[in-house]
Amino acid sequence: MSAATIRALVVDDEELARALILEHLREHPQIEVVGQCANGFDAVKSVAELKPDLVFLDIQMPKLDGFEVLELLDERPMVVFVTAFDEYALKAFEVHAVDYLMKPFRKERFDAALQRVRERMGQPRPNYEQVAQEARAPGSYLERIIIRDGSKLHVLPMDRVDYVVARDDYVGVFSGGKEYLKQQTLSSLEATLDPAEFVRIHRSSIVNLSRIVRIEPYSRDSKVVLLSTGEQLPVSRSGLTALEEALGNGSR
Amino acid sequence: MHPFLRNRVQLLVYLLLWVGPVAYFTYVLTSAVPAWPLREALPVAVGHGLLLAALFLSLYPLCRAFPLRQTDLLPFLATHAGTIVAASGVWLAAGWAMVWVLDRTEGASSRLEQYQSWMPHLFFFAEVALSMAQAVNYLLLSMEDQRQAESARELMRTLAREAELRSLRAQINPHFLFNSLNSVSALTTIDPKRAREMCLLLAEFFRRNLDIGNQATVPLGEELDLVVHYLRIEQERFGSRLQMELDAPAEIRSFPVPPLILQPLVENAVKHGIAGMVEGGKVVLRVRSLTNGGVSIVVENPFDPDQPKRRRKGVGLDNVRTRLQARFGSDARFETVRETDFFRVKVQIAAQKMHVDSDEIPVVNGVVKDVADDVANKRKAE
Repeated sequence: MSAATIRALVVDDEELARALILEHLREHPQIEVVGQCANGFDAVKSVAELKPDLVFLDIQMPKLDGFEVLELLDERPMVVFVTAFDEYALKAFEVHAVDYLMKPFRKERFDAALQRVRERMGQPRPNYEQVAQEARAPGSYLERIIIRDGSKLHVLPMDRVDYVVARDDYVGVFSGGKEYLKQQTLSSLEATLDPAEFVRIHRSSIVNLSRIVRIEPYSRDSKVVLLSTGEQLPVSRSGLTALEEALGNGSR
Repeated sequence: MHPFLRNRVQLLVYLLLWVGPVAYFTYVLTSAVPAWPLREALPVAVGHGLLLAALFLSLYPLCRAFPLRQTDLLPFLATHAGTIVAASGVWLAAGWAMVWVLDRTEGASSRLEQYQSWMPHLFFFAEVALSMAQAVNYLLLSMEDQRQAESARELMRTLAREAELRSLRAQINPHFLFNSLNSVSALTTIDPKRAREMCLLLAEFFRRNLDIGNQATVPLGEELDLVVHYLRIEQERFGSRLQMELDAPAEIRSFPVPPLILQPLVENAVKHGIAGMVEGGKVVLRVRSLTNGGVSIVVENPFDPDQPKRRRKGVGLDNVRTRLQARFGSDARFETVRETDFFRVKVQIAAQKMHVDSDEIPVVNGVVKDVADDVANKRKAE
């Protein structure tokens, strides 16, 4: 038997669901439960403080869902998803989860998951921030953007985002006159946005279509969009085409 | 059978149409040279008219047997020409016999001779009349086919709609079952009594759901009981995070409603409201009778304002809206209000002439409140 203990964190918003995992873990003395969390915020905080090797992670939780939690982690624990939903399995695979347990599960199935955990122990772990940003369930778009600001977390529903601009390795997300910096490229963010709501109007900017008041000429052959916030953003030629297409196709 | 024979009014109108030709024939006979007296002319004309009218109707089955679209032109023409010639022959023979009888009884031998001289004209007239008869018959046939096709389509539409409504009736969300069973799985070792209680709650819930779902109309009280039952199960899962408040006067419980319209509203409140809140919240269900005899149902829940607007927002709510509209049209209203941190669904149904046996509603409001309090106390105790 391996001498190394595996330090585990249990994250689920239902007390009984956590209790069940704890009960099954009691038979595995090499696994030490270092904490429990009932929501996504706590999970992010606890992973940073406790640095567990393994996280049992529910997906649908208050504040942040399981994937959003992963996106915010600097640490790279192994992840076993535990959920009643089957539709996230593919996405879980994309973020290199060790296993995906469906509630309710058999003890044998739970033990098998732990066996996989032991096999993975010591192997290099994925960079969750990146894979979680890129993994999207098919046909679904980003619903909110999560930004870490020192120890603070900002959760912005996409309908509160006015526009996004490129800032070197970061993107600047503008909402209600404030700018939030997030480490991501504009193109990778663009790929996760609903094209019916957000359009790339320039090499360095993406705009929320519902904020556009009108398109105005700026100089002889360049244009700007005027936003309901009073701000103006330059529009490139290809951006204008994309914009006219998005506004003209009646999708909003 | 000819459609005219199936409807007395149509038959009468049809026969009245023959009054004109009969009158004309009578006129021709009475003004012939030598003229027939009216007492002779009228029976002969009526006889000819009635016979032609009957032949007209008797040709209908032939049209049925040779539908326009599926018959080749040559056999079609041959059949109809043959039939019309034969029918005209029958008509003339009968007419001739009629006049022959008249001839004998009245002793006026010139009548038959006169009639015989008209026969080529009468034959030609019969040909034309019966050809027209066939044209009219085909017209009637196509009208009837169209009506049948229309009623078949109508039936299909009705069936499709019923099937749709059946499928719209709140199907139990499988995740509700999976999560509940997971709770049972946890409780079996932690608290076997609660585990058993949860199994029983689930079984009762499903049984009630089936019972109610099979009815066309249920008393509102049964709907309220089902919802309380549902919330009790969810309270096992969510613990103190889920509270409920039910405010429904006893007299409202007999109001008839379509089955399973409340449960989706409350399920929505739990799933998209309470489940997303760290500290949880209270689902409020308020029922009031309206001055017009109808009823107003309000379901309110808080939600986390940081939650994104759901893309697949309320499939359950849409189903309820659709069902209410299909059932009541403008007699039902369905509104949703989304404030910054709470969501409200308001349903109003006007009084209907639906009969519900009020004897079958033993539970009164107090009992429902007791159940709610019971659950709340139980939660506090733990």
